[in-house]
Amino acid sequence: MRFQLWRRVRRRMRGVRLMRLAHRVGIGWREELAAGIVASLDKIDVLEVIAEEWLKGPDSRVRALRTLGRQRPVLLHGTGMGMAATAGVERERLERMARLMEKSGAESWSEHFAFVRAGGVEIGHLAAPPRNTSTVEATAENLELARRVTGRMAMMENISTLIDPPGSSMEEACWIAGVQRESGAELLLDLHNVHANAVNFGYDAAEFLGKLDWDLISTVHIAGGRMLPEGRVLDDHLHDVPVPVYELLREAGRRAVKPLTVILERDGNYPRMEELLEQIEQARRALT
Amino acid sequence: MNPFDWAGPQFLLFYLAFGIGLLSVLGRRRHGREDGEIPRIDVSDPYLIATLREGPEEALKVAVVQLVHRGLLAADGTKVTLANSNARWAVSHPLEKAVVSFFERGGETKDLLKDAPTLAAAKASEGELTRVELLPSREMRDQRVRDAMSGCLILGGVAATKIGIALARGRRNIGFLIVLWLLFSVGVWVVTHPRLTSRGKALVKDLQTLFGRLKEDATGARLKASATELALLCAVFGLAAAPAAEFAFVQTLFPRPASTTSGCGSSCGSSCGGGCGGGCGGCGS
Repeated sequence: MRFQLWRRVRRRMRGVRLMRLAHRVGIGWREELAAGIVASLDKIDVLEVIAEEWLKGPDSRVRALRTLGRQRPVLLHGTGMGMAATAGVERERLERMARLMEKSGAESWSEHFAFVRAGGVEIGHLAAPPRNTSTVEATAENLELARRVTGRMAMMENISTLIDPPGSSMEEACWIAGVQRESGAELLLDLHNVHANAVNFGYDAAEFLGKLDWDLISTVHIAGGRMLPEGRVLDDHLHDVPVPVYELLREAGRRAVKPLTVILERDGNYPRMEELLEQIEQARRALT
Repeated sequence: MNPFDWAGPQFLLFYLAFGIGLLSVLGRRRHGREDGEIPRIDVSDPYLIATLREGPEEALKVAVVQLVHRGLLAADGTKVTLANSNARWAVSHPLEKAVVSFFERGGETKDLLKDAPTLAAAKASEGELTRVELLPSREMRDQRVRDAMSGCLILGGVAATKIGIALARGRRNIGFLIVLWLLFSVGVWVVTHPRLTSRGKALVKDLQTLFGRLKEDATGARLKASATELALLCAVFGLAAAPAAEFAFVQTLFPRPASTTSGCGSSCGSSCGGGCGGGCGGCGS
């Protein structure tokens, strides 16, 4: 009897906490999905756009982004800065990002804990940096420069990798915590990347979440990937969000101390909009 | 240097430059007055967007296309009937209700576009667009008229002065100047009276930018699965954006106006089909 009463009190307390944490769930804006997204705005709280698609082109294009932002808050998500590199991030790229932020009225901007070029060569994908003290310091310096140029600290996304980065001397969670301590940057927590790395390197994803500083997490990515023949997970954003990612989202909802903004990422092999909306709804349910 | 003392051809050149300059000033004045932050409207409503882009008749066309696609209306050439008896209960938007009601006894699409009650339902959203000044408000329209009248008076005043001087000097070659004045007066009206305000035009352009890739990659499979997506695509770009292979009925229901240009031969034969016959007949070969 006392146990039931305690459970009821706990449930009530949790309800009060969730009412306080007004989570938002949205989707990554892709032009192929434009009509579907616009037609479903009543079920979408927030939109995330790939910054590189808007950095170049006439002002009228950026004005369109501003118009989109009047419908739902827009978050900018960059992929080309290469923040997690010992080479300094290019100031010109940051200035372009700053202009885009100002003109688009975007709510925030984010980048990846990755390097994308080395020795003047563009790698063409997000590569995991060696996790050691020198990359912690270099990344924090890049982030500080980015904050000075753009006027706002970037949120930084954890990335997935198929190989343990050579030259690493730190665990991923420890490395992320180090950069956050040095820079104060928030973590954009990509749960599919957590899931993929946990499978690829044989650790427990929920335990990984336990090592993060939840005071510095307010945005979450969910996505789907595919299992490679050798039993590793590739984060390709071409598939539905798998069950383990929803479970991690549920865990994130329990741990969150700030309202979460959850973004569903899908980069191709687009299903019907109804299916994407169902995944958004499932994410919403996982948080309540 | 007094232009009123210049000879006819020189003065005509001066008047041409003066008129173009005045049109430019009037256009910029109107743009400055009617531009501004684009207001938030329900961009998920294809009928509102179609009304904004092209007018109430366009909204009716989009509604018919959407209802046929949803299987609530059946199209046979340009004749439309209810596809099932529950159609009336399956629609909620006032415009869709009006369209379904019109086709209850069957009818032609061209008659729908002239039907007063249905057009009234389509025009209802113009009020909302006017309220947020995407279409010109009453004050804007009044200001436009004042601008147009001022423009015409200035142009007329300059022309009349020169005509008076010319007549006083016994010259009668004033025809070109009068023609130029009339042409500029039409120009003044066009420049000061576009259908949309600057911010209305900007919103349409923004939506076309946002939907740009969708139009380029518009594949039948995606649009076939969602009548709403098809309706939005048509609302933003026009019915021609619907892929012809998958949505042949769109072209049959609302044939594009026949081209009167020299490109008639090839474009007519391949894309217009039956609906083009009359317009292309005059091309000869």
